[in-house]
Amino acid sequence: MFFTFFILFIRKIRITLGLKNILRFQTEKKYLGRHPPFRPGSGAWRFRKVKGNLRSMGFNLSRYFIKYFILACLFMILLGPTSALANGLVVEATLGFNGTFKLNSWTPLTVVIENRHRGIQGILEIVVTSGSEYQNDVYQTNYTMDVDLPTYSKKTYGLTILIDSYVHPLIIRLRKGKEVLFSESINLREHYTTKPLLLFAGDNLQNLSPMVTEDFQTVYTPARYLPETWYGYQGIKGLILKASLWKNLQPKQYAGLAQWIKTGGYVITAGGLQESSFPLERLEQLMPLRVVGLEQVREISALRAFCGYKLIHRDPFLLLKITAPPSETILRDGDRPLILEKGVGLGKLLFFAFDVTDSSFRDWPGRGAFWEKIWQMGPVADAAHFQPEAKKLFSPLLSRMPARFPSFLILFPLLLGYVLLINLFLKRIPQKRTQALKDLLPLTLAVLLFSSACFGLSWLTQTRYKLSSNGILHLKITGPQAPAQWNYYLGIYTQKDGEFRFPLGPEDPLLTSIPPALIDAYQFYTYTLHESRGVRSLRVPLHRWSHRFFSLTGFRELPLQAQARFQEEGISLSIENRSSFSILNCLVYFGGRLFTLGNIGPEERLNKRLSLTPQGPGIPFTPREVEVMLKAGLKDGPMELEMEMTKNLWFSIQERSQYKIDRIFLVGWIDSQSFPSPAKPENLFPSRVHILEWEIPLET
Amino acid sequence: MKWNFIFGESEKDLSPVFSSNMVSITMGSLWLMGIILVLTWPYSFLFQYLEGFQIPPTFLCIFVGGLIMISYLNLRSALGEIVPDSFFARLEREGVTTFEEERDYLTYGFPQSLFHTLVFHLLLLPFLIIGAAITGISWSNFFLGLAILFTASLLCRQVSFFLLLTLGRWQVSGYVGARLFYFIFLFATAFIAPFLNPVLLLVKLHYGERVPFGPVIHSLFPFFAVVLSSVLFFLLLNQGIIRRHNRKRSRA
Repeated sequence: MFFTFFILFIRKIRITLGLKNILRFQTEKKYLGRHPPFRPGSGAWRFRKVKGNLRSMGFNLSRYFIKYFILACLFMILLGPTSALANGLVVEATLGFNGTFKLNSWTPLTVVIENRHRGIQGILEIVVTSGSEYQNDVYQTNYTMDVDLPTYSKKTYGLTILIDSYVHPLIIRLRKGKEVLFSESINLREHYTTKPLLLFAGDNLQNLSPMVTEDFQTVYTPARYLPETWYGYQGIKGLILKASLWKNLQPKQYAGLAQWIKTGGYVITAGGLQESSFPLERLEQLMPLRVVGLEQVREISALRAFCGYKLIHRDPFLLLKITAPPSETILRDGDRPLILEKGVGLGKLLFFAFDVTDSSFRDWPGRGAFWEKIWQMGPVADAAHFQPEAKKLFSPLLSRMPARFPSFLILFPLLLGYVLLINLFLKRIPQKRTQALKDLLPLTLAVLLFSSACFGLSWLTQTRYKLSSNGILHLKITGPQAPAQWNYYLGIYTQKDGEFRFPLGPEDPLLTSIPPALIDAYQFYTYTLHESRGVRSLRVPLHRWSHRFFSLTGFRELPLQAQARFQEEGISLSIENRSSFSILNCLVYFGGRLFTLGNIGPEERLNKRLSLTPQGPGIPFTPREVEVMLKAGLKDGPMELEMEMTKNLWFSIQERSQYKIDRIFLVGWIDSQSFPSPAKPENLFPSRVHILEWEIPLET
Repeated sequence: MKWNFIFGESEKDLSPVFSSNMVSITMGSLWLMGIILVLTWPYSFLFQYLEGFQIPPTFLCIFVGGLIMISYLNLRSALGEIVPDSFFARLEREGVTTFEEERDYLTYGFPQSLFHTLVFHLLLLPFLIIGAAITGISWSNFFLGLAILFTASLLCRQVSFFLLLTLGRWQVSGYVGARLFYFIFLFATAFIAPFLNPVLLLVKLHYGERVPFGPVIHSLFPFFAVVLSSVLFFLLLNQGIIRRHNRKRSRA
């Protein structure tokens, strides 16, 4: 800006070369003989002297130069801090796994912010826009996080976001109050894929897999981009991670990875030279193995039986000597364990005793078949999962909200009485004018009394419940060592504008918004997931007379054990409840028959034999029988929503397990008051009862 | 303190608050408000309104109905149209200068206007509270709605009294002029100056950001600024006219 002013107000520039010209100054002697225009020594006189000196050097200044020079300096002073601050922030964002993410899946986003100026406390905001203008269902989901950047600091922030549309760009903003310090948009078209990802995390993993398959997309990513949440791996089919990198993961990344494995993830980890030197503490927490040394080999013959190709290399390569339980070794070469497999919860962890980044493996022609076999060994996702229909859930949940209109049958007589009373008082005033002032007092009291009564009646039934929420929790246990998956359907109902905040607790559940039934309601669909000091919360802007539904999914270890063994003409069932809550009205399903187990109290063990003979206690599964048996177990009056959802669950079970004889299904209710919450909020699941669904493997 | 404007029923009282005819008309407005409440009562369950993202219309209908009724009653009261039902009532009042026209407006006529408007609002208060509570209106919006009703009806009364002072009582021009102002202020301003229209402002309080028709009015301040300024203007104007008339009479 200063340079612009300089150019504008210099009429001509003549550079005078040579010392002689520079030394040729105009002095006050020019004015000898004439009345000097300025008092010698004054500012104007000095300016004329400077101007004269400059003119002699070839610079011809405009008389407005000084004025605009000062303005330019002031302008620079005002702009200076802002421009300096803007230049003081360097933000680098990496979407997905090294720039690739799977559409309609939760995706990690890593943002590295470097602050080269004064400290900043603000909010990092990620805006994901979904929907289509054509269908008029555009809405935004905001993911925000508190940031604290001291002077000259650099921090990495990891978020997990859900992107279900590539049409609109992803916006990354850094705010301080209402001021936007930084804003960037990322075009998603270049980054998305619709295939599940095969993830290779670490260095030197490029070109590791020759698989070019239409079913999966192979992605190579540094380990620092791995997500910090378990659901950040939602689009991942499998992850290959070098064993030495486990210790380099951030605590949150390790926790997220471990949780993902327990909830159905598939991780392959390979050992090499580094793994022999450093302890594998984190890995050993999931898979009991011990590295005892290294040995050099030239071939691994056992791989021929595994994938059809023997691994031979001209140069010797290293193999880790490990000790592990025999039950976990799925491939050994002689007495050397080569591949270990450990089921962790619902997922699987594989360990290779050889280095897949070594040239011996890279040059191996059988690596394609090897990887194909490895991917086939991954855990199979439970495709048939009970998902209640939204329509069948919304109305019952809505009908259970506490707010009600005041009863018309109470209010109508009240107002009728008011009008008649006022009529009585008003008619008396003209008739007895001398006592009119005395009649005004009871009139006023009547008005105030009836107004208070109307207010009180409406407050009791409606006004105090202007904002309310409820929900229903569905717990599912699959497998003996697996954590229980819980799904909580949260409904928020409001008659006023404002904001609703719901802390998500330390379990870090996966939260998704359930679409509204009305297309026009998408304008109310925006919400924010905010993270502050490691705790996430849901923030929903409220619009009067609207509702919102969310689905939360998480996993929790439950102290429940069960064993079912198939015996002659029956099943021996043993259920151990080591929790502090009771499981009420338990029903068991097997082979088209229902069996009643009753209630299982806390710290109770139930042993029962289920006879499968036609004369046994089992009742053939029919919708009517299900309803009768459910109602028989009710204690505190009808619970339509729980009844309806449990019935639908039973129908879903019958459909899924029609031809399966390797498991039995148990469904019961848990009193919500006694169900423990791991930390604040004390009642994370405000509902009446929780529905428990338990798949118990049947041993023969 | 002169109480004529509250209880008086002589020919010199323009529109006593508790005269027999006024009481009948006031009771009629109460019954009408009750009918509006019955007609606009949400007979469906509350959750069904939430499920359909619908807002019960009770607040809007009650307040707009109250606005129309109170403003019109104030208009008629200020024009002196509400007289006893006897055959000679109008004859007795022809050419009679009422107390409102001869006494100081600031100490008599204006307090009467305020008091009468307040009485109307107090009598309708239970209906207004129920209407606001059913629609889930906040306290601040409820009082804003009351303020809109009060100021709008007071302005109608001021303007009508001005027309009475300038054009005379029971004149066709005054009759038409007052109703023309009523129509323009309550309805026509919706098309000319929406920020001045009290009905649209009540619609804004009812629907919030989800106004289904008309422009979105972001602030009620311009309305109150204009209306209160107008009230003050007509107050001074009416006071000046009454003093001028009194001077003329004293000279005569």
